[in-house]
Amino acid sequence: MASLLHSSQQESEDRLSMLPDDILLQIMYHLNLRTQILTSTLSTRWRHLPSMLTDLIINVDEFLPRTETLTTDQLKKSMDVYAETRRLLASTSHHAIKVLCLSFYLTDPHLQAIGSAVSSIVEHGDTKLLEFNMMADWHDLDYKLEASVQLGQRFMAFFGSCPSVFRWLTSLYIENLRFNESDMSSLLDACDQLRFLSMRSCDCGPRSVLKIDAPRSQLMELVFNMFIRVELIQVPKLMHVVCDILVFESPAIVFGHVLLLHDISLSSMIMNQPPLMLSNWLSNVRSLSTLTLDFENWENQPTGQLGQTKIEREQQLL
Amino acid sequence: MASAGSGDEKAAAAAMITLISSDNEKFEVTEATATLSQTIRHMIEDGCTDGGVPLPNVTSKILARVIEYCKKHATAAAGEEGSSSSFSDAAFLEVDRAFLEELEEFDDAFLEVDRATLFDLILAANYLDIKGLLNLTCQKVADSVKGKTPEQIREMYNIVNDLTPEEEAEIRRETQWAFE
Repeated sequence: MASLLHSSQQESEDRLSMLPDDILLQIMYHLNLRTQILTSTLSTRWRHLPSMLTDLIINVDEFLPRTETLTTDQLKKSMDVYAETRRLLASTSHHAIKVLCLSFYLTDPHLQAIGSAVSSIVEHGDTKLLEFNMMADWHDLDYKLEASVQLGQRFMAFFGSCPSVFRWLTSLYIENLRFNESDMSSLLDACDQLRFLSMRSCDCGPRSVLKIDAPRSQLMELVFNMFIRVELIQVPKLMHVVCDILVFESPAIVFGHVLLLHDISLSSMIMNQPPLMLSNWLSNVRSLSTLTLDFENWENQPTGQLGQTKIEREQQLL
Repeated sequence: MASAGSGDEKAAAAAMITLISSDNEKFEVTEATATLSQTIRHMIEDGCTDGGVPLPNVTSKILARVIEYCKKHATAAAGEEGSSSSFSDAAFLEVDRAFLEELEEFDDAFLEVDRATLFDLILAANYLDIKGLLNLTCQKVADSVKGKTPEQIREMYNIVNDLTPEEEAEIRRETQWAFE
């Protein structure tokens, strides 16, 4: 912009640094962690600003080398550095962290460092949103099935090592984990603030069924694609279910006490089962407003009518 | 006009607010436009806007720009409310998208200002507590430092580095990864 060059009469003034703290923090919320830290070396004025942020998003992607393929070594090194951000977290612990979103690989021995750093923050009791996005680290594990068992155990060990952290957790994204039969219910019992749960490629064994009977649960949104069936026995706050399953077997979801559930999205590549009778299947879902169906093999489409509307592919009702 | 004395028009006339800039220029705006500012909204609620609202921190040049922003965004908000009942869902979504696109274009054009004006707008948005405008202008500053080295940022904003080499080294040591 040419106008920038000969605009103000006070061309040499540092108006940016003259802004009050809360505006500079507003600006920093639009930057990623790396840039936030870079700005701390601008001058004395900027040095302590990052430690005043109340919302922190720490994403392991920022720590990875910018290469196309990732070696085990590179990933480990990145997680070493990632775990070092606990120092950054420690420096913020004299004030309230309201939002903390962490995305990282499930690697040892880093999980423990992350767990203890987070627990020292949530103990203050001011965290409104705590999100974990835990990615599977395939690099040192060749055989997928074995890997998911191992990762499942690693996750559960992490879960067991920092119970206070999971009590504050509001969003959890996990992938490629195989749990034990009892793991899911202990997890859901412990995470009593959990509102969002995404479990891609997670199960409790081949063709396993997930039952959720959690009358005190705050869970509002659930995403899954590996359990052959999910039985929502009591999930009173649940509003949205997303199921994109490879092989569909009816019924992939069983609806119990789900008074607030109003948005269901169901998609599948292969449907071997007799068609769904939608009206029967959904009879317990009193608040339904949106139903999205997407089946690759559309010959065996779900049949029936719901209200006045015939079900069509990718259709929204009401 | 035959309908000059209708109740609607009286209500509309009553809902005009006068804003007075630091250099004493008066701006007449509708209440809908003015209340995008939380600061002014509270003043209206407390009934202290008779005789105009003095804004000693905002010059007429900046106030005119701020009002331009508020007018546009107040219209968009009103348009959304009005349309929700009178269109089918699909048509509503279409209108919604058109509104958003237009608003985005407006915002982009609005931000084509020199740096001094941008800082004035930030301070005015903060003082008047206009969330959308503050967010928009802060985003603009943030975008300008993305991908830059500290030295480039200092140069761009005339920031004098008063950290001792030892202090700078200490920060780098603690967060080495960010500098690689």
